[in-house]
Amino acid sequence: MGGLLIVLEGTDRSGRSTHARRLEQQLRYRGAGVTRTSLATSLLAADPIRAAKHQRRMDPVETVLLYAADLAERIEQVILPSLQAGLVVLADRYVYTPMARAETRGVDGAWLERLFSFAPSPDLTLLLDVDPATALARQGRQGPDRYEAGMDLGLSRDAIKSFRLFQDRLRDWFEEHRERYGFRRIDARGEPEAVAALIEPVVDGLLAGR
Amino acid sequence: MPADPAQVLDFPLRRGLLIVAEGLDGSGKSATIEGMARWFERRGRKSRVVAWEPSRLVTRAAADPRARTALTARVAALLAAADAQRRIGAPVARRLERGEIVLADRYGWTAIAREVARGLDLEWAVNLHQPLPAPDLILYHHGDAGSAIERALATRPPSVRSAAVGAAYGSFVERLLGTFEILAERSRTGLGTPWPSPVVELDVHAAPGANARLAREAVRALVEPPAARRPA
Repeated sequence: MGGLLIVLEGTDRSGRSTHARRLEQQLRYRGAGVTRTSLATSLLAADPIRAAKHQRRMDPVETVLLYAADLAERIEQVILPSLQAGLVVLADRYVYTPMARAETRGVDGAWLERLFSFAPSPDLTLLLDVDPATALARQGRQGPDRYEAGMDLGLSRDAIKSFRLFQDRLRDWFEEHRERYGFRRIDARGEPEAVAALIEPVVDGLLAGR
Repeated sequence: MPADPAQVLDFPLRRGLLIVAEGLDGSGKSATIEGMARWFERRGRKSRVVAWEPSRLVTRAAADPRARTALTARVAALLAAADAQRRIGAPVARRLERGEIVLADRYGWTAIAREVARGLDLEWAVNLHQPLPAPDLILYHHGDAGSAIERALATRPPSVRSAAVGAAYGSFVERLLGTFEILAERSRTGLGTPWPSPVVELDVHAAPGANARLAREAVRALVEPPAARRPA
C-alpha cells in the first residue's frame, strides 16, 4: 500500500510547524509510520538559500529555483521513498509557499506551475489561515524578519506595516488558488488545541478512506 | 581598434541586443562570438562577451561526498538554473536595460541539451530556462556528432580518450545533438525554444568566412533599416 502525503500550508506564523509536530505525535500514537519534512532542509540547497537570504539577494527567480532544488532533493530522497514504504509524509510547506512568494514578487504563475510539475500531488493540503494581525501577535518581541515582511518589495519602510501588506498578498494568493489546488481551509486564529480540533477530523477522514 | 567612421552603426538600442552562439563542443561558437565582437568594435559599438560557465553550486555539490545520491539530474538542473539566473540572467538583463550589446558563448540551449541528455523531460527543461532574457538572435552551429566527438577527444588527455569513456562521451554528444536539432526545428515551426528568437543555422563544415558573413548579415538585419545596409 502506498503512503499518504499531507501538506500543511499557510502564511508565516499560521501555526504550521506546531500542528505538523502535533499531527506527527498523534499519527505515531495511532501506530502510523510518519516522516516529517520542511522547507529548506535539503543537503544541497539549504545552504545556498540561507546564503541568499543573508546576502539579501532577493532575485525572485533565483530564489524560487533554489527552493525548487530543495524540494526536488527532498522529494527524491525523502518523500517518494517514504510514500513507497507506506508511510505518512507530513510536509511543513510544499510547492505552494515558494509559488506564492514568487508570484507575489511578479514571477509568472504558469511558469511556476510548470516548474513544480515534478512534485507529486498531495493527498491532503491543509491551509492554515490566519490574518496578519493575529500572526503579528504571535511574533513576540522579536518582530518579523526582513524576508517574512517582504521588505524587498518596498511596500513600506516599517517592517510591521510591510509584514501586514505582504502577508495579506500571500493570503490572497492562497485564497485565489484554494479550489485549483484543493486546499482544505482551517481557521487557525485560535489556540493550538482549538485549531487541532479542526484538523483532526479532516485527517481522520483521509485515513478512514485508505 | 578605432572605429571606421564610415561604418559606425547608429542604431537606437531601446533594450540592448543579445546574440548567442549555440552548438556542440568545437563547432566554432567562440570564434563566431570573437568575430562578432570585433565586427561591432570596428563599427564603434562595444559589446560584452559572457560565457555559460559550469555552475559553482553544482561543482561544489559534486565535490561533497555526502551528495553522491542527492545530486540527481533534476536537482543539478535546478541548482545550475538558479546559479545561471544570478551569474548570467540577472546581469544580462541589467545590461540589456542599459542598451548594451551582449554576446553569449553558449546559453540556454546548451543547458537544455545537457539536461535532456541526462534524462530530463524536454518540455520541463525548456520551461526551466524561460526566465533568461530572450536572445535577439541565436546562431546555431550545426554539425555532426562524429566530428564533434573527434575534435573534443583529440584535446583530452589519453585516459579520457580510452574506448569506454570515448563511447560514453560519444553517446552523450549524440543526445546533445538530438536536442539541439529539436530546438532548431521548433524555432523553424514557430514553437518556443523557449523564446521566439530568430535562429540562424551555421554549417560547421562551411567554407572559411561563409558563416561569419551569414552571422553578420543576420545581425545587420536586426540593427539596420533595410535601406541603410551595405555589403557585410
